[in-house]
Order: sequence, then C-alpha cells, then structure tokens
Amino acid sequence: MGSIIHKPDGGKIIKTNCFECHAKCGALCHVDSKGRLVKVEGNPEDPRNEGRMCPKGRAAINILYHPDRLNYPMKRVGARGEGKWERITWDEAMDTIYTKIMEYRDQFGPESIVNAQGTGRGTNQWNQRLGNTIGVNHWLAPGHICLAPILVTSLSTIGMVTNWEGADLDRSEVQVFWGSNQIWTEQTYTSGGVNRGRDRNVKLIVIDPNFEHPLAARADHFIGLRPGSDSALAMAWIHVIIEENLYDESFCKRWTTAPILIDSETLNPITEDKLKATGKKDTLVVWDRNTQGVQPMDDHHLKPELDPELNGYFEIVDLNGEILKVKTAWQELRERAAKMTPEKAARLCWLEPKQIYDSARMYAKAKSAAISYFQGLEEHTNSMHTIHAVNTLMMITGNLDVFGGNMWPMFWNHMLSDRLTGRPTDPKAAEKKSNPFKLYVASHPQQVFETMLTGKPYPIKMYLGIAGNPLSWSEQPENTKKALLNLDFIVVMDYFLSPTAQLADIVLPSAHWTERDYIADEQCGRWYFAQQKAVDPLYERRSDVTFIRELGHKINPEMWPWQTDEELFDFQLEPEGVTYKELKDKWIHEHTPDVEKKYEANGFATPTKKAEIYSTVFQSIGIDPLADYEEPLESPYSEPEIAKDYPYILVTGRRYPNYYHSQYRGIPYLRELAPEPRVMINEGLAEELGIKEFDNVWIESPHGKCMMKAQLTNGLHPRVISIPHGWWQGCPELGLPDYPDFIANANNCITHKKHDKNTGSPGSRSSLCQIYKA
Amino acid sequence: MKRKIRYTLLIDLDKCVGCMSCTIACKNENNVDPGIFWNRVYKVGPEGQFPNLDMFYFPKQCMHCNDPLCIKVCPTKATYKTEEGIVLVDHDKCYGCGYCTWACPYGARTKNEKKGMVEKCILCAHLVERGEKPACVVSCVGNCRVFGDINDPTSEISIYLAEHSDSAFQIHPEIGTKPSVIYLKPRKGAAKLCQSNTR
Repeated sequence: MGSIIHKPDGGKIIKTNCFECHAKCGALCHVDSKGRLVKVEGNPEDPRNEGRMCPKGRAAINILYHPDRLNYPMKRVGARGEGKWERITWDEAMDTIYTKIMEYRDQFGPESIVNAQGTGRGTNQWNQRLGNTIGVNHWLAPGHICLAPILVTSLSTIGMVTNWEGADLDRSEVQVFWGSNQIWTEQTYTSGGVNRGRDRNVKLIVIDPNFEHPLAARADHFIGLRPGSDSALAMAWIHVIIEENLYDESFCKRWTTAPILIDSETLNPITEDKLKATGKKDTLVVWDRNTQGVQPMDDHHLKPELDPELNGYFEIVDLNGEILKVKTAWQELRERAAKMTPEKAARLCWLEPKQIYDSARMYAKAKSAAISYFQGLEEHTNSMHTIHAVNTLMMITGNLDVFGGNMWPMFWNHMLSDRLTGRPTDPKAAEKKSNPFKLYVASHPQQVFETMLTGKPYPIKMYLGIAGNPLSWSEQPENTKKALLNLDFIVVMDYFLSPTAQLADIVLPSAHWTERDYIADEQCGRWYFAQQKAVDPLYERRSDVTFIRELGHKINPEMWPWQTDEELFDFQLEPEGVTYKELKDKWIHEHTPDVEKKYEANGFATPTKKAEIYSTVFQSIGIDPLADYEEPLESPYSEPEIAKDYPYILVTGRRYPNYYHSQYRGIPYLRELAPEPRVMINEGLAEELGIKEFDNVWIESPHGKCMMKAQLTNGLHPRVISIPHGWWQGCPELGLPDYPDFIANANNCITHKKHDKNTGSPGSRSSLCQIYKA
Repeated sequence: MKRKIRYTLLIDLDKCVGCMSCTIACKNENNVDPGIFWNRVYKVGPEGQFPNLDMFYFPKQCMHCNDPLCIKVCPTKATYKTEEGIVLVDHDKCYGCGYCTWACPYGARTKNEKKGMVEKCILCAHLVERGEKPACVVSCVGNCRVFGDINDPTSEISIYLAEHSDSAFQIHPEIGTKPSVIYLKPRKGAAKLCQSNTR
C-alpha cells in the first residue's frame, strides 16, 4: 500500500513523523484535494506511540500556517536588532553566506566561524559535518544542558545511552522516573509502558522535587528530594543494595569492572605488565578465588574456571619483587557507599531514611527494573558523578540490557560517527576548539561566548545558527547577546524571528516538519522512519538539511558530493542496506531486533568490553573513575554564606506538555493552555513572604533575576522554587504579551561561571535564590 | 430486536497525565475558536503537606446526559439528543440566548459571542458516524479515555467498566440529568480528594 494513502476525494494521508520533540511520534498527515494540510494525528502503526499524540504534535497545522512564520530569506537593512529587513533571493543569501565564510576563513582561520544549532533532532551529524567542512567544528549547541553530560558519561562507562527509550517500561516490574517527566516531554516511547503499567499494577517510583510531576501521585514512592542531591540518594541506594546483598553478584563479577584490582592509595588499576615480564600493558587483573592468586581479567568471553573476588584488600608482588597494596574496585565502591548511610543521605536530601531504604529495596528486589532519567540529573554542577552513580545502580543490579531493565538502543553509538560528521579539515582543529572540560565533546558554549567577547585566544567573526535560540537557552543571556553583537556577521535559520534571529544580518526561513523530508532516527529506539513531507514547502521555506547540504557543497564538494537530500539520506542509511526511497515506501525500518543481552556477543562498547563500574576511560584522563556523592557547587551545604541571603533552591526549566523549550508561545491554541510564565512556590512559604496567587514576583540569584507570576502549590518543599524557561514570544491573536529584554528569562539567575568540572553542565536546576514581591 | 446504541465516554482518572492533548485534538478537529473550550483538563490538588500529598487531573466536557436540562430550556429546540445518546446543537436553530449555558450543571456549554450561538463537545459525532472514535480519545497520551457503546456488553468500554466497576462514578448524579460520561477514581494518590465527589 505504501506510505501514502490516496483517498477517493483526491485527498491523501501521509505516514510520517512529528518533529515537535526529539522522539518523533509516528504521525498521519491528512491533506485535502487542494494540497492543504487539514489534520495531523498519531499513527497507530508506530509501535512506540501507537496513535497517541501530544498537544504539540496535534498543533502542527497551527504551526505550519501561522502568519508570523518566516517565509523568505531576508537581510538586515537597518541597525542591528532594529527590525528592518529586506527580502532577498536564496541565491543571494547563499552567495553572501558562502563569501563571508571563505573571507573569514582565509583571513582569520576556520575557528573564526561558529556553526551553531539548538536541539538538533536529526541534524546533529550534518551540522557537525558542516563545522568540520569549514575546518573547526565549534558546534555551538546547548549540549551542556542537554544530552552531552549523559551521552558522554554513559558512553564512556557503560557503552550505551539507555536512560531514554532504553528504559524498558513495558516489561519492567518497577518503573523509576528520576528527574524525568517523559510522559509529558517525550511520551512517544514512555506512555505505552506507563499506561499498561497502570493496568498491571506496576510498582512506580518517582524521584523529583516537584509533586506536580504527572506520575507522582500514582507512585508507590514519591521521593521529593532536594534538587541537586541526587548523587547522595544514588549512593545511599548503592549502600542499601550492597549491605543487604541485593546486588547481582554474578553479573558484577562476569560483566563489570568491579573485581579489577586497583592501587589502594592512588586507585590506579593494576595492569598485568606490572606483575610479569610477559604481561600486557592493557590487561587488567583480578584476584581469582580458585587459584588464590592474581589472574588477568578475562575479556567478555569469561573463562569458566575464573572466579574473581569482589571484595577485599590484597598484597601482591610486582615485577621487581616489591609488595603492592591493592583492593578491588568493588571494595572502593563499597567503602564510598558505606559512608553514605540512608540516614546521612536523608539529611542531605531532605528525606526520611525509611523512604530511601524502602525505595532502594523496591528497585533492587525486582526481577527487572527500569530507570528513566533525564535533565533532572543532568543540569547540575555535579552531573558526572550523579549520572555515573545512577548508571552504577543499573550495573550492580544487573538491569543493563535486559528485558524490563535498561536496554541498549544502538543508535546512540553511531549518531556522531566520523562517517557521518566527517573529520575536521583543519589539522589543528582539536587545539582550536574552545573547551576546558574533559568530558565535553565540542566547543563549550560559554567558552565560545567568552571568546566572542574577548577575541582571545582568537577572533570569532561569524555565527551561523540553525534552529537554535541561545538568547533563550544560555546562562546569562545578556552576556550572550553582548557576545553575539561583537561579531561581524550573524546568520540565523528558524521558523520564527526569535530573539537571536532579531540580531541577525541574514535570516533564513526554515521549513516545518510537515513540509520537509528527513529521516527520523534520534530517540526512535529500534527503528528508522521516513519523516516525509505532507505538503510542499510554503513560500520559500527550505529544509535545514537542504541548506546545510548545499552550503557544505559550495565550500567543499568532496565532503558533500550529494546533489539532493535523498542522496544524502541514502548515504546515512547505507549501513542498513536500505535506500531513502525504499524507506519512504515502507515508512518504518527496524534496524535492531528486540533482543536482550546483546553484550553477550561482543561485550559492552567500552575499552574493557565490560560495564565499567570502575571507568578506565575516566581514570586514563585523570577523572574520578567511580561513582560518588558530590555536592552542587552552589548549595546550602557548599556555599552556606551565599545561602544566608539566597536561602531557596531554584529549579529552572520546569516543563510544559504544550511547549517545546522556547517554541510556540505564539500559537494561540497552545498559548491559551499556559498563558504566562508562573513561578511555583510552596503555599506556606508564600504566606510567610506575603506573596499571593498571581502576584508578580522577582526570582533573584546572586547572578541575576527574572519576573514571573506566582503559582502557589503544596507540591514543592518550602525551600524549593520552580520556574519554567523559554518565555520570549508574544501571541497577538490572544492579546498576550511577549517578554522582551529577558524580563522572564530563567537563565538570568544561572551563572555562566560555574559548571561541572568534567561535563561542563551549569547549575540550571540547583542554584541558590531568593524571591520577593515585585 | 436490535439493541439500541448508547455512545458513552469513560475517563480513567488513574491514567490522565494532564498533558492537554485532548484539548488540542478537540480544538483542531472541530475548529473551536480561541478562548472557547469543548473540553479542558483541570488539576485537582496537590492537597496535603509536602511530600504527603494527593493529586489528580480531571478532564471535563459535556456529559451527554440522558435527561439533559439544556434540552428542556432551549426555546428553539436547537439542542437535541441523537438516537445514540449524543447531545448536539443545531446551529441553524440556535440564536445564542444562552439559557442552556445557565441550565447545564456541568458548565460544559459556552456562548460564542462572535458567532452568536452556543457551543460544546459533540463527541466528534462526524467521526463516530463513520466508525471512528472522538479525537480526544484517539489522541489521549494516558490512554485514559475509552469510548464506545455501553449497551453492547462486548464493547471495549463495557469490558473496561466491568473490570473497574468498583471505582466508577458519575459527577453529581443527584441532579438527575443521568450523565453518560463515566469516571474511574484514581487507584492511588487521590483517596482524600475523591471523597467529596463520590458521595
């Protein structure tokens, strides 16, 4: 039947995928005989969303036809930001952009041109390829607050990214939502498992500071912890699981780095070459119970005769006959966890010890348990330890890549492969990247803004941003604006004239998902989908991929040999043995079968082929190799002096089901569901401070402030304040205002100077603040 | 004898996640003007002291009563009930006097000042007629909406209701309009909040 169903009245239904979030629900687009999109609904044939669709997807028509959309390329004619534009042709736009790139590259080097984006959603690889084509892949993206800390920490330690679609909710006995509200933000792969879970009385644990989380009231355990204290809670869970012998001993011995021997003092791993002349430099060793001696750790094909000891201290003799004091990595983890008793964690997390004992036991005793975690763990200044600690929980309970646990979605291991992103054409690209963080993959946004401002260590001249709005997402947006205004040339491609686009010299009109061809790949689990257009692009809107490809081709046709988007997609799909045309015909393509324990074939995708409770990658670059409790950089415990004046903990980025980041406050149907930014305050606290419902309230940190309307709730701890992000756009049709000059920008309150020392994530969800009536 | 069809909507409050997909699906399906809602989702709670709280979401729309007051007060007979139990407004006959908006005990009707007539949920009668389900049901992220013929014991809604009959209730049945929309109480986290509604 194909993926386009023709109706007798001349209309048609196109099977495609929504693009309003990363997870890309299967969608049915109904087009009438005149070629107008008249209805968008979920596609029941998508095994993930099964026909369900969120408000953003259901509003696709409203977004496609909205009168404020950008429709033509335009160039600035007035002063920067003045709002005077002149329509130009695509040819002129492309020639100008190309000429500027070549000019700056010749004169100042490729590092002077910044390629930028927002959430990506299918263009990460192409934007990076463009950066590499220019020479230096700055890839200025909000990765430090989304994806990058989880991606890098998880790929380094467990060789998979399993916290999103990997959480096998449908087959789990226990579902854990930890800093994750995916039933709102990415219901695609969440709702089916949750809904059927309700029917089969699945056990539910919600760990979140906000009781207004849509699943909190249904949970067996609602753990309303202090924002940013998640690593303490995770270590306390590990404590309970180890002390009560609830861990999967066989998995820990066979499939993790827990038994490896490490130096008792330095924690460096003992390698075989230190012990004997014929020993290999890369081979780690374990204490074998059968031979009562040191043996090389096996690779993934475990020798049955080997029985590694998990616990203990040992004295072993090295090559030179000297005695080495060693212990197992497990012993070190155990000692760290021993320090974090549930009683201590309860004090740090503002919980009761019983909650910690009971929830830890519920998670560990289940035959299978899945943890969905997300930005609630990531947007803190201690994200690396927190993420590693939660991944460690999956490892020690053997919940990794098993049905009902956290499965291995293979896509993430290939998304940014060199084959797709290409390699940087500038041989010195690596040293020209702006990035002080060992676990941040590209140029760190705040480092780039700093370079834009100071011209050090090199001048930046141009910003080329595709579907991104850093004046909303970046910490200290005023600073970001100054940085951008320091540049000679700014190009922004978007749906609407965002605050960032308003500063541009050239703006380009982006085609909506209903009017462009893409591949739906990211967060699509075991499948690829043909995200095909339902209507031809309106006006002169173009697909982001088309723009990137054509610009890339102009700069370096060898890196971009493809004449059409279809050829580019064929290239992406090559390893699958399917062409884009074939994909379009069938719409859905399964790339990974539904099997568990894939690691049994070739091990985990880590250097040791084990799930690395002890991370050899971290150790090799001077980062703490094991999970641990770490306090956020700005908390009542790490900065008690600041906390005297700023006694509350601020969570920014509270989500809506009807908006995506800074998008769509201009769409009437969506705006009327949440007409204004509201700060959530505990009722008792509000009374104490004389704040009433709907009062204008300043939320102020040591770094800045923003204003929102008060929303009183019992759903928050009296010392926690929660605000949304992304408010800039007005909705003239409803007479609802815009928010100019960052007045309601949550990021005013977040410093751009304090980040997790390894991943570079800021304290977006655990900063100190005070609030008062405006 | 052919059994009479009675279309009914069941809403399992245990599963509603408050995403408001039903509201948008309805508005786009029926081209409802901004400012007017044929269905809406209300948040009930959180009630109690943090962290010991109750909360649930409550989607509300026309109850498609079996014995509706809106029909009784309508001076032009614009409001009527179909054989299958769907309460509709004939917009050729409605001139927007608004009596029905006062009579409806559920606040389910809105006068559209611009169009000079009264609007409300039509259970997507145009879709139901061709064998489809209402847009809110199809779209529902929580799968909390079940639609079908309550007179057919083999229908999805009848089976679902039979499985959960102990938690089923209707809103203010004492008024006597015989609402056809059936709600199921949340199975967890709303016991205190539900007391007032269930009598």
